[in-house]
Amino acid sequence: MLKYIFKRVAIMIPMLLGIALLTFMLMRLSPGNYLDTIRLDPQISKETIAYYERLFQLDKPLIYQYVHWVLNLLRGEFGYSFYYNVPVVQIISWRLFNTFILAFASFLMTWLIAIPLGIWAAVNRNRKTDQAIQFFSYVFLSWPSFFVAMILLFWASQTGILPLGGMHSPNYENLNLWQQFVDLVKHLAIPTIALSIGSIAALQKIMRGNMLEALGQKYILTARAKGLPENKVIYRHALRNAINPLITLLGYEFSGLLSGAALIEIICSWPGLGSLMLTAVRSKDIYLVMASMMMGGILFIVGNLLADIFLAKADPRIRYDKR
Amino acid sequence: MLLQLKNIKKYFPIAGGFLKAPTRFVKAVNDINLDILAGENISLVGESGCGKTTLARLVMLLMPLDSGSIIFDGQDITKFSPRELRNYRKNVQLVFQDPYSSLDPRFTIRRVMKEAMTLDVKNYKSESDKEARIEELLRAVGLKAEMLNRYPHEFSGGERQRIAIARSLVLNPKLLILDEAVSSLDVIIQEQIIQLLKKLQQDFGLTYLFISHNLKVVRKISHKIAVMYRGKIVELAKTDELFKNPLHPYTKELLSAAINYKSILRDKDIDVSKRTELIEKIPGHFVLIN
Repeated sequence: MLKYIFKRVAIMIPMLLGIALLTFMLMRLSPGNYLDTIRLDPQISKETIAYYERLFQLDKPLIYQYVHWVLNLLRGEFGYSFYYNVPVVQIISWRLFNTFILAFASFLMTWLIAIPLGIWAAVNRNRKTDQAIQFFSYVFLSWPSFFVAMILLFWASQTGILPLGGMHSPNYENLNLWQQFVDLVKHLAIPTIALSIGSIAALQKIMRGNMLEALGQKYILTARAKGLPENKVIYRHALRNAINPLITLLGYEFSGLLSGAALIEIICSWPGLGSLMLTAVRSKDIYLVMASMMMGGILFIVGNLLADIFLAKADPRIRYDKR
Repeated sequence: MLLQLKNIKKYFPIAGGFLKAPTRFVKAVNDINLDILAGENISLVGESGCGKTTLARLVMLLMPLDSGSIIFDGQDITKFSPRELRNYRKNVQLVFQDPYSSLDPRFTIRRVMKEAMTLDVKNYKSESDKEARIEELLRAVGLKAEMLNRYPHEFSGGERQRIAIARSLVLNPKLLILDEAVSSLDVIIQEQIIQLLKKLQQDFGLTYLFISHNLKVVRKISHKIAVMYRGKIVELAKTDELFKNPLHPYTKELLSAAINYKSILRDKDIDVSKRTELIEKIPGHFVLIN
């Protein structure tokens, strides 16, 4: 197993460099660069622009720029943001953290609600409760998350129960730790619900389907026949066998944490990575984009690796090492 | 009398017609009476689809009866509460036809065996009790103790069926229902399992309800044979008597097909309608006639 993990981590490096190369090429081969917006300003002299061009090494050949960036990466430097004029890492780290808070909250909410709901629906298949759950799942699945967010924001503006956006109240600094937490949760509520509601519906359906398949297996009949109580039959035998596809899904969810939230972040003005990336792409702040892409890439690969490891732990039939 | 089936019925609706209202029924088990004595091997034979497996599941009450009663050790199990029913299921264990799907793939053999033990706190107080019993049972079915930490997919079909049998013996059942338990195995392993079952019967004093479509296997193991056809028992007799002197036309057909590989062409359909009943023609030999 360790050997396998090591192999997978080793493969990560060329994959990430590939992601970086693709992003770089996309950014550089599309017309224009960061300095073009400055060029439009008549107050800035040609010399200044030429100076910056040299400073940012935008005058060098593309391949040189890429290699230069990779070499800097080896020293642990992600480059400078043109737009903010500070090291990329500084901007990204706290934005990443904000996005992570939001993504984690929605992730928790989704899984904690969807899994029990799916199990419950499967056990009560075709009864009224199940039918109700399936009906509302279709409804919520067909609502785009940004639409849910807008409705919730409208509702918040009418009632004033929840804040309309952002991450903290203006008086955040003056609150004690508990109040700060409550404030954060209040700000989290709308984006989290908007992000989760569709995922809950989807995940619930997947869980229900897998559970139904597992419940139809012979070993479930065996378990019942040997006199096990029904809850043990369900949780010990059926659930453990129904969980495989969900673990794989978990890996993808993990990687989607950063990118999936972008739209909601913009609507709810959550200071996360999504809105940062959008501005970065539009202003051609190339190293900021690349660093964000690297974060997404790392999360994607690590998420899938974790899912594969969990899968091997959960299912004895899956072995990665040849013995 | 260990087990008594009284007029049990199970019909499956065939959906169809207006608003999927059931228009017809498959009479999987149609008014069956059967007595099983303690220590007796009784076999249920018949073609596929005649209701053998349904009968086995009804005896375990894995599905509800439509009508009739099942008397086990003097108690009517159809009136049991869920808790009593689970207790009853400890006395009657079922070994399924397919050893590939009836063991949970996530459980090691040790866990499979131990799980059932948790239901019987009286007999299995300590871990060492459990381990000792597991090893005893594994030896009894001819498997080695070092196999205990393996998962079902690491065993062959014959080994899995042995595991399933060992597993079913954990709770010291009085009655073992073997639903086509050797049908999916090749002839050599079939023979081994049959010998094993005979030996286990001597060692543990078991009663078998052996369900099979294979008359050759049935002949070796059973004291009595019940022939089932379209949800009814058409003939019931001691093994030798049945093979020597089959009375019902369906039994004759079945025997000639199984022993001589000759199929008899029916000139008319065999009647198992309501007007027929099981009658004792020769002492101990029952047959369904008009």
